[in-house]
Amino acid sequence: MNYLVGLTADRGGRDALALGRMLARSGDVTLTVCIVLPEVWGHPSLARVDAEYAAFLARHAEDTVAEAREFIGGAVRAEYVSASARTATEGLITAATQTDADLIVLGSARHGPFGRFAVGSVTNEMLHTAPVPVVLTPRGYSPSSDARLPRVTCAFAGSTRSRTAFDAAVQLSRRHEVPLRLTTLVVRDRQMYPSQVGYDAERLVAEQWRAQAEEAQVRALATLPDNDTVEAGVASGRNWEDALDSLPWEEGEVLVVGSSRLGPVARVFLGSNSTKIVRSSPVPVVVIPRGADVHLAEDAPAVRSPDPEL
Amino acid sequence: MSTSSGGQRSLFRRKPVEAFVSETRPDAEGGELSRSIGLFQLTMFGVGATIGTGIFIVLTEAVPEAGPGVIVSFVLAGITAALTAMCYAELASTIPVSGSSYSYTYATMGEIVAFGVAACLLLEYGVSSAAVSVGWAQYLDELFSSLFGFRMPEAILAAPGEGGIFNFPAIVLVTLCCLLLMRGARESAAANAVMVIIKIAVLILFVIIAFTAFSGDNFAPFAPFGAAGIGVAASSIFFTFIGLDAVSTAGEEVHNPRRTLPLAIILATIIVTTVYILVAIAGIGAQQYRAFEGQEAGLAVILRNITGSAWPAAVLSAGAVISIFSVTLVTLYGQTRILFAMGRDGMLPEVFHRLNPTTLVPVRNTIIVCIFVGALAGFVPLGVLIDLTSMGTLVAFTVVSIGVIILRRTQPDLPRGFRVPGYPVTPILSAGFALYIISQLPYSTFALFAVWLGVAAIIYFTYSARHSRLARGEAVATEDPE
Repeated sequence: MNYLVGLTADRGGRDALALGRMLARSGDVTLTVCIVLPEVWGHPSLARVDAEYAAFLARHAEDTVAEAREFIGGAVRAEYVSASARTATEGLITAATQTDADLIVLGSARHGPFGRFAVGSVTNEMLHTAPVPVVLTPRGYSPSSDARLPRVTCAFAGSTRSRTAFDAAVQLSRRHEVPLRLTTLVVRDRQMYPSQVGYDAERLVAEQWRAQAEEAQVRALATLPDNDTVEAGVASGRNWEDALDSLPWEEGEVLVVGSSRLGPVARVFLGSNSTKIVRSSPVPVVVIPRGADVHLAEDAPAVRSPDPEL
Repeated sequence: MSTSSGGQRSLFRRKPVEAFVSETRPDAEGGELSRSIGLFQLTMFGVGATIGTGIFIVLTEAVPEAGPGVIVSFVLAGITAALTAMCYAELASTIPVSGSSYSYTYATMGEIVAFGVAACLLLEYGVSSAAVSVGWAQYLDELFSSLFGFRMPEAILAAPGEGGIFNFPAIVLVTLCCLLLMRGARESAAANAVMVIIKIAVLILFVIIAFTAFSGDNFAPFAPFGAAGIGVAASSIFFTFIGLDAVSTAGEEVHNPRRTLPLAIILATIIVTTVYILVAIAGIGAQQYRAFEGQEAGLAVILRNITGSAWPAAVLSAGAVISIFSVTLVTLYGQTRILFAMGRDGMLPEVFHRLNPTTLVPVRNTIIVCIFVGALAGFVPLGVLIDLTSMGTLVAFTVVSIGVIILRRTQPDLPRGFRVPGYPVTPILSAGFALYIISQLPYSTFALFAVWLGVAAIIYFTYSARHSRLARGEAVATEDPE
């Protein structure tokens, strides 16, 4: 397995490294730590006007990589590369394709609250173009130096699109040989005012949602072989943050979400559940890109009945 | 299973209060609402939910029926609405979950009554959304006319029977609301506040401008059709007071409900009635009562006639178009949630309570409601819709008032967060006023209503009575000691 870590010289890069290191320790994983540099124009002049800039970039990359190398230490197999590209997204995707990465680890933008993830411009592009799952590291993420991945939690909505996330979560838990937890979030954050039918109407809807989600969980779990360790449950709260915080999290745990709802950011008025989960999660979030190709069957050919409802 | 043993008893089987509680409150910490609504906010909810449902369109129907005496009709309807809202509040505080009168009735008077009330609520919400969207179409046309000098052809602006083929803008409005609801859009408290301000602002604009053309002569004769005319007008007007009951449904979130609820209901009624009466006085002062007949987008037309210029009419129409849109959204939403609750109870097929997992909206339910409402809005004349809405609302209100009395007698020890002041006079008066207004409705409305109840009865006896979760014994574990 090969996980790509997007390295930057700031706190976000350091957080991503910490997560990459933890994941690498938790399985047979090689890290590729990649720093993306702006492409130098190669100005066609004998005066070589950009030589100094190019030299600065090279030195900057060397310094950053040296720091990262020191941080990662020797216990984890890691390669360090620097790539030049027009945009960070392009560089990261090229590197991921070249190294055949199974996962891309990214740090948070700076504007978010501590302990949560903030989607920056690069992450946003990555979430719409990445060919493989992307892991988003909350700000200030620092698991203890011997932490390992203890469990994979999947945010499961029971929809067709949620199926991709479920498969990917199963795959991830098998790969790292850790238990899987299936969780459906019952959030009642929107209320019609005035409501002419009483303010419990949404609670009734939330209850129906819980019942439907539990059915969907049972159906999804039925497709798994017995030797997978899975628990399932529902977390509820007044808002996404409440619901996510109400779950017991183990140190180093990650949350898997699908990205079907991570539509164009411009469509803000519709809201988007996955975006809200990404913003509110206290643990790293693995986003399975829209159209991500999960070959669960290749991993472990097992009892799977195609269920059109899921 | 004792509840399924006998005919009459099972028709009146009641849903245990515990079942409501367990359905809506599985875990105390999740989704619990704090008591955060104060008197001002609650009053504004009431005003916001009420103004806009009808005042923009009802004068056209009501003034020709009563003449200037329509002012008395407004007072009459307002008193009735306030009294029933009180009764609502007591029932709401007795059943420890906030819900529609369908839920209250199911818990207190039994299944078949609840089903009948639900059929009435379908008129109060579904049919009133249709009525309101027809009014919206008129104001949209008026807005276009004021701004661009363009009028839509009558064929696509009126129902058959009123000179058109179908009401296209009304159908468009229902479709737009349907799309929004399907995406899970909600109107927030802030949006509601903005809508209240817009509505009141344009109505004040109307009153101020119309008073410039005030003529006392228009008020004589005051009641050309006598008391009967005033009663008939009150029955049409009642529809504009729908929404006051929204105040009582918020009980659980209200800070100090025992004091706040009745005050908010009374204040909201006073504000709403005052605004309505001002609008009526201004309108009648500006033109003879006979001139109201058949006037589409009435308030805007009056402004145009007074001022001779288009902009006041345009401003008023724009305000009406925006605020009626929000009213339609809220009433459609209410309708889907009532059907959802009925689906949960097994009274309606499962399709009404399946949620779409990505939007968490009962999508098919919403589509069915919108098709039904869209068809009504497109093909039924406004007057019929208004009268049917008033009928459904009044019957539901009467049942609620009687329910208060029944519950006080059958279950006097139930804790009540709010008690109707002046019991038993208030609920009796409330039912009496409502029945009087009902008696003033035209016979055709009674006939339609009878047909509607007949349809409801067929649905109940062919489907609901057998599929009800109570009938199947699923939700009544708490009722059976063994």
